[in-house]
Amino acid sequence: MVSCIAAGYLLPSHQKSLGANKLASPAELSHFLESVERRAYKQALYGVRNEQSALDIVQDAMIKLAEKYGDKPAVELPLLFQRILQNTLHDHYRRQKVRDAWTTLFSSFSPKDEEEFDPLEVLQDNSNPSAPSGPESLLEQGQTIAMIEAELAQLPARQREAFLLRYWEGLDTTETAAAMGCSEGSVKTHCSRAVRTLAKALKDKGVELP
Amino acid sequence: MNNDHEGEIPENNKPESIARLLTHSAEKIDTKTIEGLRRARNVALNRQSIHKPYFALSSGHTTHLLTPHSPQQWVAAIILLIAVLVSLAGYWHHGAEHDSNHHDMSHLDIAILTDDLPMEIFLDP
Repeated sequence: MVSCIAAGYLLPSHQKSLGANKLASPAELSHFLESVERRAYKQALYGVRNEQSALDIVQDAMIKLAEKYGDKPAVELPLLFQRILQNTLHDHYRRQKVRDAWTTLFSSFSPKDEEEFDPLEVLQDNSNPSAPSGPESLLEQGQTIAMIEAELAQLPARQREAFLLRYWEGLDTTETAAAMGCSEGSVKTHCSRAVRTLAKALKDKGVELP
Repeated sequence: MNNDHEGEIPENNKPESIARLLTHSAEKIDTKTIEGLRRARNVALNRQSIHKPYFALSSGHTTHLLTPHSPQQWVAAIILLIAVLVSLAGYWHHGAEHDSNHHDMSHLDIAILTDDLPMEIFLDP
């Protein structure tokens, strides 16, 4: 909620009282996309763990929003964009699953030399001693963020989506359910499990957030 | 807002704290990615659908499908219109000739019926 308001956009549940239904102009759409693109990219990156794929997903979601809903009222854009982004991510997962099935089939005939994703690599990269030195607190914060992002990437997709939409994007339970295409009960369950998993992982690593 | 199912989460590791750090992380995306996002945004904006008002005489339902939209369609429509006009002109000309012949034959019929044929008819040429 805070992030959306800071970006200049109110969520649908807070817009009803305003009765705003003005159609989005190109400038408004541009401003909206600029305000959400970074978090959208991060959301996609947590899910697919590949920078180029994450960029492609965000671009696909932006194009779909502009082409199909570019003439919708500006106040409807945040929820529409989240729904499109989640659907685009799901499409990517489905295609990835098919690709993986074929890759597994063919790779059984060749020696295994590809490395799987290891969150510890992310931690090592971010605590790289060759990186520019800064205040100790800044370094610790960077390590904590890397740890959280690695844990987020490890969460089941639905739990991660629910957590990010609910707590990061500031949607309420109803809006999160609409964006995810599931019931409000499922959203609460996914959120609860995600929060507990993250909290336990941080506690196990002795991290206490500021 | 964010208080369902939070249970025994440590005070300092609440979702709000995690979300705050994620926002901090999103603000520190590298310039290469930011440039990629900017390009993606521009591609999307170039494809934005803009609400277009209907032409005043159009019903806004199906009649606009009959009007030409591209230059090729306009050329085809003009050729079709010329063909129709030429056909109509030919038909009118043919009808006028037919009326003229019909007029001559009517005079002959009347002359036969009234036994008022000119003498030239009975003479060998």
